[in-house]
Amino acid sequence: MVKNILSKKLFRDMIDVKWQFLSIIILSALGVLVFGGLDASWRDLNMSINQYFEKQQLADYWVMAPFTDRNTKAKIEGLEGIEVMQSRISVEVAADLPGEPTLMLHGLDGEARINVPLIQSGTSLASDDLKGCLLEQQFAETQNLSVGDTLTVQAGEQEQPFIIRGLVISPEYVITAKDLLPEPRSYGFILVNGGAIPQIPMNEITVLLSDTADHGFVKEAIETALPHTLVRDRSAHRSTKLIKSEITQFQSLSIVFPILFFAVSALIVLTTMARMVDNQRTQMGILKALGYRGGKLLRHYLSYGLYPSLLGSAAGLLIGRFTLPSYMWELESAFYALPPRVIAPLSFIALMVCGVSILLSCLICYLVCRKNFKEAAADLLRPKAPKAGNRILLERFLRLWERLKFNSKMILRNLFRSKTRTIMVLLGVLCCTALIITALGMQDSFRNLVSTYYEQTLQYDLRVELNEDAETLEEYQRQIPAQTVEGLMEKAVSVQGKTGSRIALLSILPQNQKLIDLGFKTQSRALPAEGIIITKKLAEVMELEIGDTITLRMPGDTNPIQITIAHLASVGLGQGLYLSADLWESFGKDIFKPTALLIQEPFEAGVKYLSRLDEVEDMEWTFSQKEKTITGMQSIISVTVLMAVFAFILAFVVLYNMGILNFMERAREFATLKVLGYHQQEIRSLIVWENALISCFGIVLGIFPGIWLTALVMRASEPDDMVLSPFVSVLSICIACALTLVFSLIIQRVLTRKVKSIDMVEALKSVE
Amino acid sequence: MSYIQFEDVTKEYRSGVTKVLAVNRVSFAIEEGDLCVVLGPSGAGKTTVLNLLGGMDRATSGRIYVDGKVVTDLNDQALTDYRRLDVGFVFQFYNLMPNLTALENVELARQVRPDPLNSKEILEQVGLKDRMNNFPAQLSGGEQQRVSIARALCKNPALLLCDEPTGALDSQTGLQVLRLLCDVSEKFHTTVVIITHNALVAPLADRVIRMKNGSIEAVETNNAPISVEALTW
Repeated sequence: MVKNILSKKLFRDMIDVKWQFLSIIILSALGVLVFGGLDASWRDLNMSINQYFEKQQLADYWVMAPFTDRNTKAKIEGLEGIEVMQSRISVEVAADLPGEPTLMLHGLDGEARINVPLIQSGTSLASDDLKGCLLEQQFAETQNLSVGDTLTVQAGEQEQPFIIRGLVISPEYVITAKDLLPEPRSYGFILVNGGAIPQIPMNEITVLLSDTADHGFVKEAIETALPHTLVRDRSAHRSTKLIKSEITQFQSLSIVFPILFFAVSALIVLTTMARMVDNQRTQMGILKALGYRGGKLLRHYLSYGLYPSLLGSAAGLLIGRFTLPSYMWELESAFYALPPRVIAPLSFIALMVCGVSILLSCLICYLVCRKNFKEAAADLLRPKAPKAGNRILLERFLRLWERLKFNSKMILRNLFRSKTRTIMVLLGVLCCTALIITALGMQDSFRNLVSTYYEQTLQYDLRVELNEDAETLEEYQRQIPAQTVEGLMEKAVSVQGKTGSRIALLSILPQNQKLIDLGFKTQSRALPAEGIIITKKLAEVMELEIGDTITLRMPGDTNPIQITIAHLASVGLGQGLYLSADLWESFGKDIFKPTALLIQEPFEAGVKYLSRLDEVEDMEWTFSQKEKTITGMQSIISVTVLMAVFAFILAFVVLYNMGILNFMERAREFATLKVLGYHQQEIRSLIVWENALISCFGIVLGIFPGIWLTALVMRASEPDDMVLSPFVSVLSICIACALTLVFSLIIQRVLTRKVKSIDMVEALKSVE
Repeated sequence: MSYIQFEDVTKEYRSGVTKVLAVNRVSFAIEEGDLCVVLGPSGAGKTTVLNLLGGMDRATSGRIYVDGKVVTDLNDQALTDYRRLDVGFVFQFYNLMPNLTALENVELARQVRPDPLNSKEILEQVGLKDRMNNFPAQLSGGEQQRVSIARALCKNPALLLCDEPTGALDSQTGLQVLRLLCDVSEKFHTTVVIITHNALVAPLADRVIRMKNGSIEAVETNNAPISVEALTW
C-alpha cells in the first residue's frame, strides 16, 4: 500500500515537472546516442571489412616479380607459413570505351583462390572460360555496361574482346583509385583467366598466410628467396591501407568527440536532477514528519534519478544504433566499394557509457537526498531561505562599479549569485562553440592541406604521364612550348630503415628542379648533391632522422643502394623519397628517363603537341586534381555537419533547460519587477542581457578549446600518408562564435516570452 | 466622483470546473488623501480588492475608477504604466530583491519613474540611514518592510497600497511601520490603502471598509482618527 502511494506520488511528480523530466531524458539519450551511435558505426565498418577480408581471402602479400618464370613460384612454394598462393598477370590496359578509361587487368592462373571477388550480379568466371571476364561493378555502372555485354581491351599489342560474365567487388579494391581518389568513370579493374592473354607474362604472386604464420619472418624469407622482387604487405597495399586508416580515424573520432558530448550532457543532467530533488525538500520533510524511514524515502527519490536516465540512456542507445551507423555507412559507401554491412554486436564500452550515465544520475539523487535527510524534519518543512545577495569582486573597484548602469549592476550580481547556473550555461555555450569550431576547423585543415599541397608544393600546372617509350627530358624541353618543362622519374622502392622496411615512392628529379617545393630550403628548390630527401611523415613512421642511412631496393635488382638522409621534406599529401638525377645515375642502375613531365604554364601549342604524342598516357591539370581532392572530402564535411547539428542540440537543451530553471526560481523577482511597473520588454531585456553576457563569455572561452580539439581530432585521425596540420581560419572562428551567439539569443527570445505569463498575484502570494 | 471608486466589481477565479467568487459585486469609494483600512478575516477578498485596485489583476466585471481613469479598461501596456507611475505597493513579505542592497532596491523603483524622489533621503526618512548598503538578508523584518515602503514611496505615488504590512512583524515594529504610513499620508498627501485582519488598526484610518466573504459589510468614515501613539494592541 505504502509503496503504491509513493509510486503514485512519483508518477504525479513526473507529470508536474514533465519538461524537466523530459529534458533529462533527452539529454541522457543524446549523450548515449552520439557515443553509442558512432561506436557502433565504426565497429560495423571494422567488422564488415574484417569479415570481408577473411571470407574473400584478401592476400597478405603481393609479390611483384617482373621476371617471373616457372621457378619463381616454386621457390617460395614450400615456405613455412604460406597457406595459399596464386600467380597472376597484373597490367593496366586501355578499354575501348568513350574516354579511353584505364582498367587494371588481372589474369589469374585458374579459379580465384586469393582476393576472391564477390559477385554482385551475373555468375562467376569458370577457370576454362577464355572469353569471359568479371568487371568491377562501379566501373560497369558508370559506363552503362551490364552482364552479357562485350568489353574490348587493348591487351599488349592486340585488341581483345571479353564477355562480361559478372559484376563484382573485390577485397583488394575497397577503393579503386589510380591516384588519390576513386574515379569509377576512368579507372576500374577487370578479372580474366590468364590463359586468355598468353602474350603477357605472369608478373605477380599473391600470398595468403596461415593463421599461425609469423608475418615478419615469412616476408623476410620471401625477400631472401626472391631477391629481385618487391613484397608489399597489407600496410603497403593502398586500398587496404586506406580503408584501415579510415576505420582508425573513425574510431578516434568516435571517442574524442562523443566523450566530450557525454560529459557535458551528464553535467547538465546532474544539475537539473539536483535542483529537482532539492525542490522536493518540503515534501521530504512532510514524509519524514509522517514517519517514513530513510531507506524507503531514499529508494523513492532514487527513482527520480533512475527512471528518466534509464529511459533516456536506453532510448539513446537504441536510436543511436539504428540511425547513425546506417547514415555513416551510406557516407562511406559513396567513397568505398563496401561489402554487405555486418552489424557488430553491442560493444561493452557503449553499455558501460549507458551504465555510467544511469549510475551518475542515481548518485547525484542520493547525494542530494542524503544532504536533505540529515536535516531535521522541521527544518525541511521550512522553505529554503532565498540565496542572499552578495557584493561581487568587481565592486571593490569602486570607480568602475559606480560607472556601470543600474541594470548592469543587477545583471552582474545575478550572474555571481547563481553560480552553478552561470557555470552550466557557460559550459554549454563553451562546448557548442568549441564543437562548431572543431567542425569548421576540420574542414579548414583539410582545405589548407589541399591548397598547400597543390598551390605551394606543386608548382607545376600540368602533369603528363609517359610510358616506357619516353624520350629524354632535353628532347621534350626543346619540343614543348611552355614556360618551364621538367621531368620526373618515379620508382616504387622498398626502403629499409632501422626499424623495418616499407614500400615507398622514389621520385628522381633533375638537381636544379624548380617545380616541386619540398619546403626544406627557403631560397632555391634545388636538390642536394649528396644524400636523399625523405618526407617528414615517412621519416616519423619509420623512425628515421637526418643523417641516418637507409637501404633502397628496387624490384628486379639485386644490388641495393645505401644512402644517407640529407633533408626532411614537408609534403602534405603522399609520402615518399626524393633524389637528384645526377646522384641516381651515379649508382649506375639506369639512366634518368622521365616517367612523367611536369609543366608550368604550357602554351596552347604545347598542350596540342603533347596530345599528339603516342607515349603520353595521361594528362592531369593540377587545378582539376585539386578540385577532385576537395570533392573526395565530402564524407568529412558530412561528419562535420553532423557534429555541428549535435552541438546545436546540446546547446539548445542546455540553454533552454537552464533558462527555464532560472525563470522558475526567480519568478517572484520578475513578478516584483512587474508590480513595480517594469514593462515586459524591460524585464525581457534584463534576462536577455544576463544570458547574452554569459554566452559571450562562454563563446570567448570556447575558442581555445575548439582549436585544441581540432588539433586533437586531426592528430588522432591522421593517416600514414598525410600530414594533417590543424588549421582553423579566423573566418571559421567568427562564424562559430556568431552562430552560437545568434542561436543563444534566439533561445532567450523564446524563453522570455514567458515573462508575459507570469501571474503577479500567484507569484507573490505570501509564502505559507 | 470620488478619487477611487469601485462600481459593482466582481472577481471570479476558475480552477477547472469549480468557480470561486473572490469578490462579489463590490462598490465603495475612497477620497483623495484618505488613509483607508480594509478590514476582514482571511478569505474575505481583501487582497483581491487590493490587487484589482493596484492593476495586478483584472476584474471579471464591474468598473474601477482611479483619479478619473477607468482602470478596468486599460490594456496591458497602459496598466503597466499605471502601476509604474501611480501606484506604490507594500507587501506582507516585503518582496525585496535579495541580491540588491537596501539602497539599490529603492533605486530599482526609481529607474522606471521620470521624476522620482531622492532615494537616500527617503531611506533616511524611514530611519535606515545607516543600513542603506546592507542586503535584505542582513536586515531585520521591520527594516526590510521599511525598505519596501521606501521603495514604494520613492516613486512618489498618488496611491500607496499595503497588503498586511505589519503581518510578519512583532507589535513594536508593526507600530513603527504604521506610524510611517500615517506620516506618509499626512506629509505627501498620498492616498494610502492598508489591508489588515487586525481590527485594532481601524481607529487610525479616515475610512474603514469591512469585508466578509467577498462582499462589503460596512464602510465607516472616521472624522477624528487617532495618532499611532494613542494606539494600543
